[in-house]
Amino acid sequence: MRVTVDFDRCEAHGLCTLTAPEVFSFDVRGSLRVVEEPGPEHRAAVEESVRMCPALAVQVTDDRTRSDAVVH
Amino acid sequence: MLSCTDPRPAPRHVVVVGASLAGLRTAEALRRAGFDGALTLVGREPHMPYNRPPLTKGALVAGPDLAVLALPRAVELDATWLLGVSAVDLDVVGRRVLLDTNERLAYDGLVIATGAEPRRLPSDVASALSHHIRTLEDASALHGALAKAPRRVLVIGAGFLGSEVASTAASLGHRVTLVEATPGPMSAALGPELSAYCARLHRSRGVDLHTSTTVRSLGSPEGASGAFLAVLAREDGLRHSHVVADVVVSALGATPSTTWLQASGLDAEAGVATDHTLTALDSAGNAISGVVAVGDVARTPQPLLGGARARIEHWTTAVEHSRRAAGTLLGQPASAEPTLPSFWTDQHGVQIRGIGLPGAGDTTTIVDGAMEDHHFVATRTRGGRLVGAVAANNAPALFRFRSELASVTSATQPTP
Repeated sequence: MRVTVDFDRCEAHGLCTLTAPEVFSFDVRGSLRVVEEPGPEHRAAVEESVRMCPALAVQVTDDRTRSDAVVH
Repeated sequence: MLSCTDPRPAPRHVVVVGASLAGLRTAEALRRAGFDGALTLVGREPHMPYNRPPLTKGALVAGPDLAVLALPRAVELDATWLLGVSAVDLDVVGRRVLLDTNERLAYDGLVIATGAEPRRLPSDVASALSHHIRTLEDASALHGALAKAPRRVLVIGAGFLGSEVASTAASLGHRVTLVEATPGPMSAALGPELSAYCARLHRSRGVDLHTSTTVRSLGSPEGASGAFLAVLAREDGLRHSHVVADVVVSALGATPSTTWLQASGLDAEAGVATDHTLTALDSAGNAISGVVAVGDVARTPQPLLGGARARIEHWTTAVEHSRRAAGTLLGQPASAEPTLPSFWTDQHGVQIRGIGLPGAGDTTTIVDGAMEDHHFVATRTRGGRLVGAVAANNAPALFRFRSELASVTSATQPTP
């Protein structure tokens, strides 16, 4: 399971930090931190975060192949 | 009764009436929970489900685009979609929904998700010519009106939608008058102090805000200018004033879409009454097994209100209902703690976020930051007990109130 947040869409509602606090959290500066490849035990909570995101910014993909880090 | 457990077999055909957020998410939740029977979604609008909150914000500036607004699908639904079709009657004994196509849809599970519709201005003329916002077409029409040169815009009603429209119109350079019957914008949802903050915000951005004021009359467009003439009356009756506007937007709140349920026997007077499983109740208060109500149309018991029923027109409430309602229909009542009500509004560049039911409080306390910095956190308590928290430009700070509010919602959940 791979979790991505579209930061162009993210409006910092923070609902993901409520539904899946082990995966999504705000740092001290209020920026969203995401565990991009959480363990399978977090699947239900992450999927709930996808549904609860008012900005429709959270996505889950099931790409089993480990992708290399993307450099922006 | 032979057994105290529900002997009803799993439904084979679930009909979802209402194809917006609440209906879509309930359909998805049914599939995720393993429902493999037939699924039919009936939607009054001709579109696949789309996201409404941007309609008063970004979509009003750029023009609504279905491709951008479409709600993403979490699961393959394998459903029959009847779009552009309305339900006109419900027979709960015969388990059938009558459609405006004269078709009768038999069901053994029913999801009532018809939402709410804008409350209209009383005057027919003004109602026909003024704007309101609920659908993509509404937003498209208002976008067109606001895309012209700077105009005089009158927004009637300073709830969430009216306040957002006023904010968006002001950001586009229009001259905006905002009229609100209560003492302040969103006062019922936020309480007086936070409402006063929002009032100051409007005024600081040039919005001419009139509180405790109603529109006494609204003249139809006259002459070549096509302008409206609105006569405003203060609650105290002492002062009258008038406003000339090129564009009028009515944002007087919404009423639940329950006309089709009038003869059904359900308690649908002010929204469909439900128990805590979201099962619909008839007018004698009996639960109607196999019928659930979700989203804006549902009047559900509120733990933060001591169990009293209320409609909560929040986006997140619709999503939270969907999971609970699907569980109820499938005989798998939700055991998870109910999600806290949560809402947001963006006005004049300030992100306002709230959890719980701040409107139910009697006391406001600023616990972090300062209103004049547009960066603060406020709690709302009732009799010393926390009922809600609101943050301006500081959503992350709401996190710490979650457990205290959640303990209220779970502690007062009735046992089944």
